[in-house]
Amino acid sequence: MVDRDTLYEQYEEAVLALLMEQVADAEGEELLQQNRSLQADPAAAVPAETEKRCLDVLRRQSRKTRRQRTARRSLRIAARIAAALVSLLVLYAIAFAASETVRVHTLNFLIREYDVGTQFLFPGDESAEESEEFASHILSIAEETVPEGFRHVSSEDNPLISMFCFENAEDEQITVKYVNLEDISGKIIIDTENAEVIRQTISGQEVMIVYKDYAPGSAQPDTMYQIVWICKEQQYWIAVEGSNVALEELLPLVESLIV
Amino acid sequence: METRFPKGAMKEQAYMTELYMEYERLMFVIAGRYAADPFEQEEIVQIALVRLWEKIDTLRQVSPHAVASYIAVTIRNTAINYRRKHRKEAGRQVPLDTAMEALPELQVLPADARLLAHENRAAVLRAYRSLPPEDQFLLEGKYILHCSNEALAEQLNCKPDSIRTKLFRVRKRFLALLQKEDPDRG
Repeated sequence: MVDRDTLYEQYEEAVLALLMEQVADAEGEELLQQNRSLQADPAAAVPAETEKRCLDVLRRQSRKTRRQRTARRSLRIAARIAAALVSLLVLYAIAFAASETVRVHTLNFLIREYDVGTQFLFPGDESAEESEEFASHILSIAEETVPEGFRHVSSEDNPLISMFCFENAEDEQITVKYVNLEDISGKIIIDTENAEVIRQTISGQEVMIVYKDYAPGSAQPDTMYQIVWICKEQQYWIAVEGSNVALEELLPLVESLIV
Repeated sequence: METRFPKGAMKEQAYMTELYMEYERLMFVIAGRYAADPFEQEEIVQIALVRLWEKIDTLRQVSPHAVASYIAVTIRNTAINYRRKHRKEAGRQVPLDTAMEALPELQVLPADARLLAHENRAAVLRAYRSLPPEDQFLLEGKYILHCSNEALAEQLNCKPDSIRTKLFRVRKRFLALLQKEDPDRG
């Protein structure tokens, strides 16, 4: 229970507040009258420069207020984003800890990203699956149509490029390279320096044939053919390379891959 | 209560500019009572403008009388603080405690409603103006500007605890003066 002295004090406070309101009101009336007189008195005019500086203070205060509000708003938004991110992170951490599938997918994702550098795909991604399927299709065609004596010796396969190497007993090599161009932005460089370049149409597909004749004794093979084309409809790029292999021997393989 | 300025939609800067242009001369006249130097007057007005900006919400809600009064009190309060800060008013530190020595003991507050029923603004204003400037400063700071005890203590260079005591005594003195002005009260 509130004691008598406190109640009296509160009463006094309230009375004083009311009295001061009366004071403010009465003074305000006088001040308004005085202000009207001053408005009519040219001698009371404030110098223009002084007035300008005072208005500048208001402009500065306005800018400061806007900055403070913007900062507060930004801080609130940042806090919400941070909270959302933390929540997602916590959920992900729980899923990572609880699910082996999530762990495997995460690790595979990281490895692929490290190897390739540009492609962010989870294994199992639809376009990656299609690409892998098409690459194996190309390998099976190539295996059937490489010149006699050549056998499949190695493959390199990643989400960006598939490469299949064939060799014969004379160490002649044929390489088939396949690049899926879907969702890829970048460039592929063909070495045409000091090379003979021919453009030709095979089975309705325009191809570029690059022939290089290397100097004897260099580390390179004696001759190198590259037959390159882009299938715009299916968005892929293929190159058939033959080291020390004649063009006539390569063309059946090229034709079968175009078809 | 009516307000002379539109609420809400008007941007703060536009509102304050209009307020300043309306009361500019009055502001400088009041500042001139505390500082003869025009540059000091300008500085006082500028500081007061920033303080008024912080009270825009209050100003928008009160009557024109109250706005004029609020502006005058803010200018006065700023001017007194300004002079105190610049140490041009030696000995003007609120001598409330010494003044209290001569304060007569009296039962100030009648426990009835007549005090409020017989509202006599002229008498209240006269009683208020009979108070020493330091008392007015404290009452205006507390009841018009709604300063906290801490803020008042800082302005008066004393401890926050002593503000409560000072206010208690000033209130008593004000009510005593009011009794003299209007003996019917109490």
